[in-house]
Amino acid sequence: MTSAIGAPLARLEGPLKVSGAAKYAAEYPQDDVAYGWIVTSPVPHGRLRSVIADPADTVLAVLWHGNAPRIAETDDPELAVLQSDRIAYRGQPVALVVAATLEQARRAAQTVQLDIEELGHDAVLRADHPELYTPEQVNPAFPATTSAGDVETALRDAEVAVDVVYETPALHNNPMEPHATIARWDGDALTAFDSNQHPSGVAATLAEVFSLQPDQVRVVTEHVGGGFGSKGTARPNAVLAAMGAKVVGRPVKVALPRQQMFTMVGHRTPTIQRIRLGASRDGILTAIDHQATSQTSRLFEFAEQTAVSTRHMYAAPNRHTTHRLLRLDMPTPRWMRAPGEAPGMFALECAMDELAEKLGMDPIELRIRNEPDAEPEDGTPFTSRHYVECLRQGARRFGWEDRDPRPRRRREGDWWIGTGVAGATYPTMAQPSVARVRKLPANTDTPTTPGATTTAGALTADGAPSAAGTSTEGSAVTAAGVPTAGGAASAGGAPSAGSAPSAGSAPSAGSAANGGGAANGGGGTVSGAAATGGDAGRFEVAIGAADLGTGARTILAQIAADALGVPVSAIDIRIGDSSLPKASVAGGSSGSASWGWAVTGACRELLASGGDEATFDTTELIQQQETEGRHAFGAHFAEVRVDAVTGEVRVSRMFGMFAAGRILNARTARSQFLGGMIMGMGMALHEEGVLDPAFAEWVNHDLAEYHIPAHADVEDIDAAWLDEHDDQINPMGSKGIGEIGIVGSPAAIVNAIWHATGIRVRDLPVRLDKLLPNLME
Amino acid sequence: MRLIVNGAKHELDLDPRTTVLDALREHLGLTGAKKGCDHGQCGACTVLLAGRRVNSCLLLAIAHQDTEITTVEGLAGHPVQQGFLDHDGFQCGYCTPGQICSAAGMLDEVAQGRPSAVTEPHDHDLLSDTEIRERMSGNLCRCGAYPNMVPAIRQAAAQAQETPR
Repeated sequence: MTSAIGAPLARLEGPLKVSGAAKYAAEYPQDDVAYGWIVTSPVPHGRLRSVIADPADTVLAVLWHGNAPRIAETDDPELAVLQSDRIAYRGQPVALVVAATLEQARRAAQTVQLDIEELGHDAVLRADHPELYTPEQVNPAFPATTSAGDVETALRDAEVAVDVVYETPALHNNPMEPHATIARWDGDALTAFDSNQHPSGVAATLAEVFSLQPDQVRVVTEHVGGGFGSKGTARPNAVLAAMGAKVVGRPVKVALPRQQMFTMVGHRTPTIQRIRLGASRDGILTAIDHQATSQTSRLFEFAEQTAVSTRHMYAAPNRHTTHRLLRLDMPTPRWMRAPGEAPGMFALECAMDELAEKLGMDPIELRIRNEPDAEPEDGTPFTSRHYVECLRQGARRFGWEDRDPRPRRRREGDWWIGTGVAGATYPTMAQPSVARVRKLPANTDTPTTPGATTTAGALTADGAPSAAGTSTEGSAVTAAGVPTAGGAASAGGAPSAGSAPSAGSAPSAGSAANGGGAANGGGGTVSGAAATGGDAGRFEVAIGAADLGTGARTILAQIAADALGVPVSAIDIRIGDSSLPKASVAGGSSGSASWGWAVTGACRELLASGGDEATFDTTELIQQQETEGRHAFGAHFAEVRVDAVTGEVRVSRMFGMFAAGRILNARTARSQFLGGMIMGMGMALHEEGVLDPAFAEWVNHDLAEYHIPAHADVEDIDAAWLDEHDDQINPMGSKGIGEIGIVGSPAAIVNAIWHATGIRVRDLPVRLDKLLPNLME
Repeated sequence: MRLIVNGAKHELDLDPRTTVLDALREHLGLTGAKKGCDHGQCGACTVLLAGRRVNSCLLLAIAHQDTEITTVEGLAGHPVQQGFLDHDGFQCGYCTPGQICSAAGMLDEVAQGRPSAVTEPHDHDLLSDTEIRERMSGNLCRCGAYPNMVPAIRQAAAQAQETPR
């Protein structure tokens, strides 16, 4: 049969998402629910003496460190909410108001009086700060400094050299769904409907915080409205909701307002990066030096691995990378999509462009000349590396060939036009996970479980929709009480699959959306076997993974189908619930590899044993694995127009060419690549937390003033990939793709802006005011 | 107070500070409309008010008791939904109901011949890709699914022309 892996299968939960039936964390109805509103510190540093509620307000509780229940410490000090009088940053949670209605809670949070002893603060990162220090290691466990040869001598003797400083601002993840938790206690058992990237991990953390046994906590994370790193671990909303629910004896819902997402859930640290490159006249690098400076908070050392990508990218005998860190009275930075790689590669890839300019060499040729045979630092062979192929094929497809390398040469009307290139890389990782597969009796209804069973419906493995007439099924999801799950999308007689323009190559989700009959029946689920008449039986695949919009649910069904040798429609996939087998975080672009590996193992074991159920744990296999020499690579190309009068920058074309192992789903993969590239456009042109040092506050803390790319910003954009085979990394041969799209894309745009205008902007984002002074002739 | 949502009348006892968005989500169980910013900045809460797209987080429920409100749940079978499915016009799905309501309202605006900020004088193609992007720019998507929404909306527009609803 045809392989399901790789097919452009439509997202299994698509019909739920377009009909409004998909349930996100704050959307689970609870009887007698109360609302929590977090009060945050209005000062960056101080001591909270007391909290006084306005007696005119109707509240159930006002919790602060003076009256909040004691909770256990974890390795994340920011989860020790309301436990001490210490204020470490503006925007830190200092109280929780719980009231019977949202309006009451919000009002009471506004009127509560905070008695604070304010202390002095320091909020500004600078490269000459006397308190800068070198951390013991950078995230997750890399040495802070690496060195080989003699960089200083090589730079002094270099025929051509660049010595430049790049700066990137604080960036804020801003997933569309704000962090939210509904917590309910049933006796000593805690259930949290929580928006996160790691239900198994959040459940373990909540058990630790509230001193519970692991089986006393259940975290439900069925659909997640994006995370981009900010939901990788439990955030204060989860702990506060559970604490509030315990105190008031009712379920409590805490949904963060957008403004609070700029502080307490993490952000990307600002960076200051000095890059020095030395080369011979023929463009062979003799020295690479990358010194990165970033910040952390007083609460927690978060040491971003900004210069680590530089260790893997280009050959050079003399090399040095190092990181310095500064503790400030500011919120703790956390992970944001490609933490380290995104800002680090912006600097390295812009510096390479500057070197190409000095050499008078094509920037692609410069990169190709410095392609290493193995890991540049320790000689470990790469399991696969097709960077040069990405550059060459990408150049061909983008139309690089006849490019005049000189800047400020192409003008159309008011527009300067230029093109730029940059490399991309992201580590290939896997983390221990457990999956379970069960054989379900043929033609039997799937058990109705609150949580997340999604059936592949009528979509067949090769992506062709089955005939609309025989499909009786929506994307059946058993979440109790969801009315007309798949049927909502079809009630009006949506066009049949056959009439959809995309039928043929891309699968029309139409067949999944069309099966109004079965889905309209209410909470029940009809098996795909009944719909397709299959007699091979059905399989339930369960793993506590999270689908943040990555397509995880869909690709896991594809992986299981291939491993079991059945169509995708025979798979019931259950994810998004910590009561399922323990899964690793949806982060580090490692979800598919980690969970797919466990699912493959469980399926193979089921077949080998001939039994009805099998569970597979990848912990030992992954611990035995080599971790060096494993990376995805890519090349970004951008064409920009810069208005010669106003300095407005438009990205008229973007193209990304990737070598990321086996692509598991061509449809969702393309979307994910494009999404990363668009976030890279935001990093290049729009996004910036603007710091007011006097108040230690990002003044633009909402979506009106913190700009992210909008529809009108995105013009011609596409992504493609090489057919890369790598049998050393995991059973699927897949590398992660969630982050590489944002790595290098900002540099490609900034390099294109230089090519258009002759102006090097070295601090992001490229705003009009940075171009205008030098734009006029 | 009362609200008319997706053709159904509801009698509710609400705090007068309650927004249309919170009335839908917290009191009527209609969680299709999403809360992304609560300040009218992201568009996730977009619904149709008497057929016009609005940010429901900016409206007080008490001020809209007699106006028909249509949420994504009331757009079942709308060609825009099928377009989003066919073109993978979403990833996380959180902005999606707002995008779909916004696109539905936008197509009606185009049908009425209303220009946008990028419409040139004597421009007759009000649904070029540039027009769609401009007209949809009040709805943010952090996943960056924009490139797939444009063909999704184009397909829906073509279908709407073929089969007037």
